[in-house]
Amino acid sequence: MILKQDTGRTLNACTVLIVDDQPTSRLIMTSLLEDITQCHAVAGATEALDYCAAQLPDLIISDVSMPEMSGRELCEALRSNQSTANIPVMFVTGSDSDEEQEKCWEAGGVDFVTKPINATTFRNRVKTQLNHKIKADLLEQLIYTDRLTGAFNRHYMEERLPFIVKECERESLPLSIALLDIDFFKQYNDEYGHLTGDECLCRLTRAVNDALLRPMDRVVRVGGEEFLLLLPNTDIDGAKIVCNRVLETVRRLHIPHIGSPFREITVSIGLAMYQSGISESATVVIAEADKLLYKAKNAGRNQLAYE
Amino acid sequence: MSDALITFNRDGALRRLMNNETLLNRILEIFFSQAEERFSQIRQDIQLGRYTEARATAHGLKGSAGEVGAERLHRCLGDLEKALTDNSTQAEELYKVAVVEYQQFSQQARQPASN
Repeated sequence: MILKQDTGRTLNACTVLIVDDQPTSRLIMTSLLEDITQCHAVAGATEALDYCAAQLPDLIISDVSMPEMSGRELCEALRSNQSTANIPVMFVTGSDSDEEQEKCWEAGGVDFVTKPINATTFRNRVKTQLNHKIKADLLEQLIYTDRLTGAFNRHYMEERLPFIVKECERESLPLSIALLDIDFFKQYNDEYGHLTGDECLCRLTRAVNDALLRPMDRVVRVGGEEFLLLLPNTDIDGAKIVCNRVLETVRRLHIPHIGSPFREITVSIGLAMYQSGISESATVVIAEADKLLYKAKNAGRNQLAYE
Repeated sequence: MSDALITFNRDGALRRLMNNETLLNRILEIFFSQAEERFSQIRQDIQLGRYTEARATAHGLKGSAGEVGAERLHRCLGDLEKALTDNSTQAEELYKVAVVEYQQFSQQARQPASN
């Protein structure tokens, strides 16, 4: 039933990256797909990896035999990187031998078509892959986001945090983790009712998201009025700037709250940092952020506390 | 079936391209603009014993030949590619056959479509 839900995305909003060293093949594939979807064509695997570092296509269609780096090597490189691991790769190959087919599947390809391409088969195979991708994206969105606020949910945190930590470890980069809690929210709900409380949560989430600025930063709703901010590649000084911006953004919403001494909705934040090679675990850092959050609460709320 | 291969299967190429004649003509144009240089590259690489490089160029040319409907050339280049993979002494001979096929294809494909 879920899969019949309107995803809001159509095939022509998807992007297909075509990778082929032969200009004739690039021209054919681009021409055959131009009325279906958005196409971008590159002549080699290195260019394809550069493209994916800047934006994620919904499907990659790659030739197998290319100089410097083969299509299969490209596919393996994409699979080994967390951010590109889920991009489906369809191979286009001049050989349909059993050995070639095995290798394409082993490399992680989702399908393959043989050259010379038959337009009807090619177009339908691409449509099928894009439809799968749209549905997979929708499912991921439904699984990982909180339906009320649109923030990531606890399930997302449990699933993805280990990967985010691993990536920071691999690159020896800091990961700042902040816990944010709305001040006097129980009183807000008691005073204004739960519907208004929900509306407040939505406005606040949007504002916090806007205050984060970078796409790699994440807002996770971990409890009723408690949120976790994940700030990869951000040290404590950078994270303090971000958290202070969040505090200020929430204040500027000017959401009335007569049950609060501030007369408006405010938040308290506890900030801690995961340091690769030093911190014991992300769980310990979250517990630290939690303690600091209580420190901020005990110090009068509407403020940031950091380690 | 493979014996029925023809030099220039224009109808087959067009059918694969959803009868887009403009597209076929553009592909032919690109193919002819690159083919001769690629052939001389293959010859040079074979003469210098650089079979891997010659094989890669033959493979690319084979793919393009298939796209433009050069069926016999496509098969010849496939044979050449295989010979180069196996380091076969036949490579030079197969290269010459491919050149002849290319010339025949070129002659037919450059003629105005007769229908």
